[in-house]
Order: sequence, then structure tokens, then C-alpha cells
Amino acid sequence: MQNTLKLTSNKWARLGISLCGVFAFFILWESASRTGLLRSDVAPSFMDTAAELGALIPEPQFQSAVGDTLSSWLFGFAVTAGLAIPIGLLFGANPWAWKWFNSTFEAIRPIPPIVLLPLAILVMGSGRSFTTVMIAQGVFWIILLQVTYGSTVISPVALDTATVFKVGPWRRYLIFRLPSAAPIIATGLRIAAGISLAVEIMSELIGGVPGVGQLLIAAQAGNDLPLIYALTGFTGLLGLVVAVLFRGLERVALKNHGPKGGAE
Amino acid sequence: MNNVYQDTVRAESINGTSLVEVSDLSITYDGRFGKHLAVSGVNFDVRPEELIALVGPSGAGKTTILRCIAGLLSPDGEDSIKVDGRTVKGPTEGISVVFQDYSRSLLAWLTLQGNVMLPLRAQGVPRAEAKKRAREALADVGLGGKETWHPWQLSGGMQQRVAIARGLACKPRILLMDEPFASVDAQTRMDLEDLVLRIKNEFKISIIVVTHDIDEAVYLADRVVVLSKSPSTVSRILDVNFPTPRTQEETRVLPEFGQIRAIALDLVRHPKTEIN
Amino acid sequence: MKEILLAVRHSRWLKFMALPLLLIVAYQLWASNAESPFFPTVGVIAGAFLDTWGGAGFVENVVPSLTNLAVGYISGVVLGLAFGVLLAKTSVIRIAVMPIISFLLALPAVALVPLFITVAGIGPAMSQSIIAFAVTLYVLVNTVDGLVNVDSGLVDVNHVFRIRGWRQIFLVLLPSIAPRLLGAGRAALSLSILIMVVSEMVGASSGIGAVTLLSQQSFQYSTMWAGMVMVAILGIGLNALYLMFERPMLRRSGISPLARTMK
Repeated sequence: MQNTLKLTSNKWARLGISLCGVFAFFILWESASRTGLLRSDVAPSFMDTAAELGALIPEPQFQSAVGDTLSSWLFGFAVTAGLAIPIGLLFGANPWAWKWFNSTFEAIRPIPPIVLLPLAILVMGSGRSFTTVMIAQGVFWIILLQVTYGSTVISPVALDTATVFKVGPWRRYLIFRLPSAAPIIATGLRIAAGISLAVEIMSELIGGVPGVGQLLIAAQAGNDLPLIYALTGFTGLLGLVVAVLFRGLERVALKNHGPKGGAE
Repeated sequence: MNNVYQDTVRAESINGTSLVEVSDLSITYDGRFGKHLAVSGVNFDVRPEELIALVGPSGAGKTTILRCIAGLLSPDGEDSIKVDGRTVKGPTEGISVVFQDYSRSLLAWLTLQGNVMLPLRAQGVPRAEAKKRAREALADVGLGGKETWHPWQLSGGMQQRVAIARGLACKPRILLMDEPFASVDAQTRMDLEDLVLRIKNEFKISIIVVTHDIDEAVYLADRVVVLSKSPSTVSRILDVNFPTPRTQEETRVLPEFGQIRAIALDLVRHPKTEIN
Repeated sequence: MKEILLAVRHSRWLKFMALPLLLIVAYQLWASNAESPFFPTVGVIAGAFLDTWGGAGFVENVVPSLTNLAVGYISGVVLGLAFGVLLAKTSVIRIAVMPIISFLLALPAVALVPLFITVAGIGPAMSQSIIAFAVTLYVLVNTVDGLVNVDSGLVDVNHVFRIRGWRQIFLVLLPSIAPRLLGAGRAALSLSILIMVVSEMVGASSGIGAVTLLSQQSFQYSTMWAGMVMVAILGIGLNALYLMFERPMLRRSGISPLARTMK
């Protein structure tokens, strides 16, 4: 019966179990390496990987690579979002124009974000404009579609309310449309942030753009397995931080929509 | 809570004539604000081939009690609920449930026949027999010939008929109905009420209906169990003896109907005034 | 004139093609004027496309790429569903492993390419295993999340009618989260195509990605364009194929495609 789930319904118990899970994973990894179950040409031990990562962090070369990755990603993402959000809002307010382009945009969206890479690197070299174009090609459509969708899902009752109280077009937009669109836009931005970070790393791997991805390629060329694991693990942490930050943003946007949140 | 009705309940259970015995049923929730006593010492019983209606003010824990009888929820006490003298410790054979929200309880991706067959197949009924029983059950609720339809092709009332057919196909001795007609319109509701009465007589089963509609309760029930506010206890158990067969047009205008309805309504709307 | 405008307005196909056609025409006009080696004309690209991917090129490069994609994707979906169901059923283990899974999900899948190249070597096994890994994670997380938050009404139905085992999983639970799973499958397909191309660009000598990048590095720009067009067509085409298969599935599950949510 349903009263048997006591242990897992307590918040602190859950946290405890999660922490135990993480520790168990580390211990299993370490002991698999020590017993030879996990061959050292497949993966270094957990302690070696952690030590490698620990040694990496104070290195100026690593720090500047992280700085390059973060600034290049943030710049590309900001430019893309700065373009896509206003355009999306315009489309949202203009259903006729949207009808014309929406199916095309939907069709363009599944084009893999790597498609322009060979050409873009040829024309632009491996600078910031290159990564920005790559990021824009990867996530512009996602943000645009999500923003437009968000600003069209407003409930007809709310719009009728605005009409009955003779709210002018500007206020109507600011008070009625934007708040109802905010959670959906925030979701789009979260998804786009993750993908654009992946595109940044990808551009570094293939395009030789300075950053963590370039260090990864160098480590691979040197066959330095502990370093590869440490760098890959660090990239994961970076992705986790970005995901958590944008989840927070999404939560703020959802806050004004009651416990159930807005339409998704 | 020492009124005469409880004493009769006890007496009957000892005689062994009741199918379901609910004795001193208490239910405590682990709510957001700590423990919350929802139901406190409820007693009633259900006799064979009897229809019991559970009514009470909103939040009185009617559905909670029904979920306990269905074995979906554990009561505080060990032996609070007995069916055929045996303690209910989980979903039990012989008990079927018709849930309130057909759109959530029917499986949209299965046909009507598939929906009705699934519980039978899950209990090991051979395919051919399950199919036969499903078709019969669908015909019994007036959905013969629509076996290959999907639930979303039907109106709400028709979907609830599928849910009833699913409950019946298991050949239960007790059918539990949780606000079964809360989301259908008034006309459909009357048809479904008559369907329930017909099923009770035809299949000789006991039925417990939870409803917030006093008129519906009085029209359907042999006895109406009126609950008090939360933490709920039994305010009173009202006997309903109308001439059979009952019909919407005749039964509802009987003077007795009005009297019982008035008593029940008063108990539900002014829960405090009755405890003397 | 009015009739033409009306016809244009009502033709979905025209609406759909209007912007791409306009862009292609604009590109053609510009490219034939610019005469830049980086930007060959539409005709030249089309010729290179046929030369590169037609005949022997198809067998040598397209077939292996698509095989890697299919093997990785399908095994990822199967593993993701299987582990997802298992984890959803065991709450303690689920809570214990979820932090690790969230971490792996936040790790951009393309960043795994150097690691997999070093461990699995250059070849189809590498591509297939990264794709399978990423797809497994994505499908698993969506399966677990869907099953854990499954409608309580269905949970009651399972209990009351004692529906257990494979019937509970395949007839009740999984179909109820079908819209979400189908959405996840589509996103995972896009991700697989990306990983396929990236892994070939970094660590392969044949395959669509490898041919595209190698031709860029050896100044064969029309072949490079043929590769880019191929990648775009694969992305659009496989997505369209997926939608064709998804729509009847959704209809059968009694849920309109609009009910799908983006999470």
C-alpha cells in the first residue's frame, strides 16, 4: 500500500541517500581500478583523476582556457538571445507573419548545429565571431520558437479582460503578454544555454578555438588518459553549473505563476 | 459518538449478515503541516445486495474511506475494515472500483474491449474467456458493438459506462464508486444512476457510492451514511425504503424522498446541530 | 492576381518553401557575382553533391555513417527504456544514482569524443558507443521522470485491478508517457546526428563528417559544401521521418501531438 514509501519521501533522507550514492560511486570506481577490474588503459583510478584535476586548477594555462571557454560561450549566447528574443516577441505579436515563417523555422530547427562549421572557420578563422556564428546557428531557432510560442499561449480570457478594461497596446504587452510568456522563454533559454555550451566545446574541439575543448584535443593527442578524464569531468561540472543557474532563472520566472507554474 | 445507529451496526456484524464491516475506522495523514487526523472512529456496515451511499460536507474524507475499503490506503487500526470477516490488507479479489475521473482511469491507447479485458488478463483469465466477458460487460452497460472504439471517441457519460463495465467484468461482490457521475451533465447522470440500480439488482452485488449530491444518494441508496466534518465520524445512518423499482420521475416526488433528503441535507450543511 | 495570392496563401507547401527558395535564389545571385572560391554556385554544389555521395561515395561514406547512427541510436533507446523502467521501480537506488546521472546529462556529449577515441580507438565502435551513451542517458532520464510523475489515477488502477509485471509496464505505464518519450526520442535523434558528425570530424577517415572536414582542409570547397548540404539534409530528413512515425503513434495513444511538452 502507499504508506510504504516513508524513507524516500523525507527530504533529508533523500539527500543522505544521494550523497551515499555519490560516495559509493567513487569507492566502486577506486576499488575497480585497484583490483585491476578497470584496466588503466580504459580509465585511471578515481584518486588519480581527482589528483589530476586538483593539479590542473592552479595552472594559469588551464585557468585562461576556462576563461576563454566561458567568455566565448557567454558572448555568443548573449548575442544570439539578444537577437532571438526581440524577434520572437515581434513574431508573437504578429500572428500573420508567424504563419508564414513558422513551418520553415520548424524545418530548419533540426539542422545539426555543426553544419556551418567548415565554411565558417574558413571565412572567419577561429575567433570570437566564429564561435558566435556557430552558437547562433545552433540555438537561434530554439529560442525564437520558444519565445514566439510563449507569447502566443496567453489565455483568451486574460486578453478579453485586457480588452474589457480598455488596456492600451503597450500595457497590454507588458502586463498581460510578457509575464505569461516568461516561464516558457526561461525554459527555452535553459535548453539553449546547455546546447550553446556544447556548441562552444565542439567548436574548440574541431575548430581549434582556444578553450577547454582545445586542451582536451591536446590531451587526446598526447594519449594522457588521466588528463582527458580530468578535463572531461571538469566540462561536466561546467555544464552542471550552467544547468543549475538556468534552472534557478526558470524558477524565478515561474514564481509568479503559482505552484503549478505557467503553461508549458 | 454514542447514538443508536452505531449499536445496530455492532449487533449486525456479530450476527454475521454483513459483507463489509467498517469498525472504528481512523485515518491519519502525514500532511505538509504534520499529522492530520482525517477520519476518526467511523462505523458502518454493508449487507449483501445493499447499496450504501456515503455523503458528508466537502473535506469529510468520504473518498479517503472508500480508498481504505479498496485497499489503496492503510487505516490507522489493523482490523478496521473487514470483508467477509477477513481484514483488508490491500486490493482484494471481489472488490472493484469505478473512479471519479474516467479520463484518468481509462487507458486511452486501448480499445474499450482492451480496457475491460486488461484486469481479467492480469488475473489470469484465459484470453478467449476474458474477451467473452468483456463483450458481455460492455453490452450490459449499453455499449455493445463498440468494442473496437477508443475511450476518447465517446462522451463523458459513455466513458464512465466503460469504467463500470470494467468493474463488472471482474465479477465483484462489492463495487466501490467514487463520485462516479461528478463530471457528467444532469441528463446523463440520471441515466447512469438508473444503470447503477439495474446492475445492483441484476448482478446481486453490494455497492458503495461516494457522492456529494444528497438527491443522488437518497435516490440510489438503501441506506445513506452521513458523515460529519473532518475529522469525520458517522453523524447518522438513514434507512431508505422506497417502493421498487425506483424511477427518476416517481421516486423523486415521493414525500418520503423529500423528508429523508431534508434530514440528510440538514446534517451535511449544519454538521454541529445534530450531535444532541 | 488576386487568385494567385489566394492560392499562395492557402498552399502549405509554398508557405513552407517560400523562405528557403528565396534564400537559395539570393545566394545564387550573390555567389555568381562574387566568384569567391569559398562560395560555389548552386549548380556546382549540386554537381559535387552527386559526385561525392552518389555511387561509390554512398557505399564508402554514407552507409557507414548511417549504420553507426542506427546502431548507436537504437541500442541507446532500448537501454535507456530498460534502465529507466528499472530505476523508476526502485526508489532508493534511483535517488542514489540520480546525482551521477544528472552530472553525465549536463556533460556536453560532444566533449566525450576525445575520451572515447582514446579508449575505444578510431573506428565505428567509437561513434556507436558515444551515440549509444548519450541517447541512453537522455531516454533514461525522461523515462524515469515520466514514470515517477505518472498520473496517480493510473497507479490506483494498477493497484485495484492488480495489474502487474509486463502488463503494467507495457500496457499501462509506458503508453501513458508516450508523448513525452516520443519527444525525447526526437531530441535524442538530433543529438545522435550531431555526435555522429562531430566524432567523424575529430576521429575518422571516412564517413560524412570526415569527408566534409577533410575536403575543407584540402581546399575542395565544393565537396565541403556537398558535405554541409548532406548534413543539413540528414538533419531535416531524419526529423521528418521521425515525425511521420510519431504522429500515428500519438494518435493511437489518444493524445494530440499538441499535448507534448518541452522540458
